[in-house]
Amino acid sequence: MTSADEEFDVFVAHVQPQLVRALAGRLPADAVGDAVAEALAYAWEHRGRVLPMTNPGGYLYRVAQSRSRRRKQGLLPWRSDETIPDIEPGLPAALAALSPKQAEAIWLVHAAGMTHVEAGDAMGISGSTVANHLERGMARLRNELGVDS
Amino acid sequence: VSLEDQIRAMGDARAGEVSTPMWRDVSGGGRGHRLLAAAAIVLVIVGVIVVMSNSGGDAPRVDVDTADPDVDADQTPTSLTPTTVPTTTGVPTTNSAPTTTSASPGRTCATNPEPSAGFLDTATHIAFDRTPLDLDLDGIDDEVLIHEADDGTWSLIARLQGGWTNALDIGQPSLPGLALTPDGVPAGTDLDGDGGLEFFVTGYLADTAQLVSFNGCELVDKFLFDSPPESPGATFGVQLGIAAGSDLCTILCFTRVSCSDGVLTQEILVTDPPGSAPGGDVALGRGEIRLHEGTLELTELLAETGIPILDLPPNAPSAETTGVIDCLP
Repeated sequence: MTSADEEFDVFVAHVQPQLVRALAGRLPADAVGDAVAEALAYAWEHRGRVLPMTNPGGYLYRVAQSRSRRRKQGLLPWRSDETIPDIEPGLPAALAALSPKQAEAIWLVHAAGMTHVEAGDAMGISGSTVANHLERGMARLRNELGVDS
Repeated sequence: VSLEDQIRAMGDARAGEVSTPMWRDVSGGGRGHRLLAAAAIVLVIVGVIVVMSNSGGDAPRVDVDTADPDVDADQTPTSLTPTTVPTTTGVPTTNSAPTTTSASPGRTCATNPEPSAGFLDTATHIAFDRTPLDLDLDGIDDEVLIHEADDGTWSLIARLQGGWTNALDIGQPSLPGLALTPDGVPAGTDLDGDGGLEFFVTGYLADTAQLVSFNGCELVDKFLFDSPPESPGATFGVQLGIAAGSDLCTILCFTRVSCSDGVLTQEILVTDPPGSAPGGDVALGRGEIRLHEGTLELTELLAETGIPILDLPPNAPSAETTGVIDCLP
């Protein structure tokens, strides 16, 4: 294994988990693997430019979406058989009812664990705009679900 | 459990369903090893043939099939391959699309030692502009000059390192403000993916833009683009060139700026494919595209119609970003 391979291994280990979580909100599970593979293949091909980026995860999120050739459609609808303990029953539907930007900001920050800046890079907007979407989206969720926290 | 934690749990659940492949299976990390192995096999076989042929004429003939079944055609590097995409432009033009044969990178062009007579005599001409642009891709900026003569006719001429191209008469001014502001600059990009540049000019406060084909070292043709019906009086237009095999596939974007109640709004309108990508502005030059907000929408707009996606890095903290146009396979 070359040093380039090892360096890329480290890069993948760092980026892939967050990339999977970010894409899992928008793509079916079987498509996420392909999209991640496409994004990592792109990263390998352009590793001289991608690896030094301050937020390669956000960039690859966009690459993955572009290469998946899917129409922008917001969050993936929650399936009826997807039951998760300890979540409000109406939360998936309330998330889906948000504006696409709000839903995406919430998903990237809270479900994928991105910072505002990272989510902004991923969405092509500024970190402060992400914060606005996040604040308004969470307020709408709380209002819709009738919860305080 | 807070809402944030619940959403995190949703992320856990979704991510848990995903099966991700090892990157080497898809990234080409193993490709290099397979190619090296294939090359080694071919070298050994060729070596055997050479040795046998040198050892006398009685050596048995060996038929060599150098095609390695493990090396698929689609594993060849794709970044250098022009992309085949739908070729209909939907953009009104005054001419049919030509087959461009642009200059090869670093091409030495046959140029005129002197520009067209009187072209640079600024004393007798009322408008004159020049813009650095590496037309022949030799790494050195060339100049494109836009010239408005006393009689109101306009011309373009390029000064390369070896001399001047012939002037291209572009007729009566259809591009108000073309040579008057930095926003009316020519810009270049590889429209047909052949490694050479085509360039085009747009006009500030213009409803039309012109694409000028840079064929070899000549300014050979022009197209007129009208502003889209949904954007009368567009303030600024650029073309985004997309590699499309031997055909041009061009979309034209206009940015409209308006001010209402003290709020400045910018809107990108795209003629082909139809639709709009709200927010942001686009500037194009020297094969590069710079976008502000709206990048993602524009990218997705292209994706939905099958046009290759531009290779766009994420917005820099300054909200301005630059990326080389790179059509994806």
